[in-house]
Amino acid sequence: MKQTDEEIAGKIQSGDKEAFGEVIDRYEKPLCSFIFRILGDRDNCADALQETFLKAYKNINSFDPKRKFSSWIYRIAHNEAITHYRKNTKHVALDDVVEIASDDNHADFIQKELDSEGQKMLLDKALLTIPLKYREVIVFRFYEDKSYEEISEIMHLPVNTVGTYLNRGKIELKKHFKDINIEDIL
Amino acid sequence: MSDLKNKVMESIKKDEVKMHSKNFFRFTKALIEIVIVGIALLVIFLINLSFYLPRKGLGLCNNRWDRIIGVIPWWIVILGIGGIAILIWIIYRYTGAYKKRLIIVIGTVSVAIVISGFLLSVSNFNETVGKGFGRFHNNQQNMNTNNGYGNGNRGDKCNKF
Repeated sequence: MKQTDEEIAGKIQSGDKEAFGEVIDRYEKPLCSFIFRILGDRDNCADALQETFLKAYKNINSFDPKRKFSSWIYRIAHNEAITHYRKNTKHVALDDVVEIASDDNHADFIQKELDSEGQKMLLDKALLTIPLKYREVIVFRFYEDKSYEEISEIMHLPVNTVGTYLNRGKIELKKHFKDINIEDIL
Repeated sequence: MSDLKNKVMESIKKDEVKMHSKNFFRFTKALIEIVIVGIALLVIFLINLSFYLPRKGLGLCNNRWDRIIGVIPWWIVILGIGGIAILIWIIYRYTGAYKKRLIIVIGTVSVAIVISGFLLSVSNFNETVGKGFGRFHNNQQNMNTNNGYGNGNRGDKCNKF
């Protein structure tokens, strides 16, 4: 029978170093995609991911097995992503996306993009232009499929605030995609 | 095995990265709790003084606001407010208080501290502590007088305390 994350964490806490490999196997992809959507930069993403796992190992004894392991490790990834985001001054300019999305000449192109496989890519790009706190909540909710309670625990925010950020984030995104229902893409 | 997994597992096996012990986290948690309680007690004491000193200075039957404002020890009030701000920040940052709205945490902590400070000010805590300080103060004055530093009488409203 497959072990739960919490059971694996318990094994690591009792000194089984090898068991941490299983944590990496399970979380490398989801954490990578989360950090990439926050930073939008592959190099930084790899660094942040490595730091996340190293910090997770260092602090594994602070994890309470009665709680959810995924929330705990996502909290570390969230902190690392923010640290790397602040260090890195090269953020995607708002204009890059706004220009493409709002220019009438590009309207057909945008519609085609959104009708095709490219729609998620365009959304990913637009995500990078909205404020970090809204971006994170949207990524957690729609890409990582986290509940409000989990997002609250990961970001250390009240549940109501998670809902508020989610709505504000959607409003910010809608500004880039006129006449397109953002919920359809998400 | 992925490149990242190799790197991380190698650092772990070579003991380049060591996990903190459970005691380390217990100690950190206890330290945070001690700091929170310590700051809370200090702030309650300061708020108590900002209620007590003006009342003591003016006498209980004097309710003239201009005089009350004139004798409020503002530096103590400012220190108290600063202390409350630090306390709220620590509680919000290091405990599970983030689950509540910040405004509720601010309100609850502030009201609790101010009420505790007020209750302390109407108890006989200050008189009891004041007697101890009074003896210390008198000893200091006597020493200063003997050393030629004046008689220690300020001759202003401080005499009323």
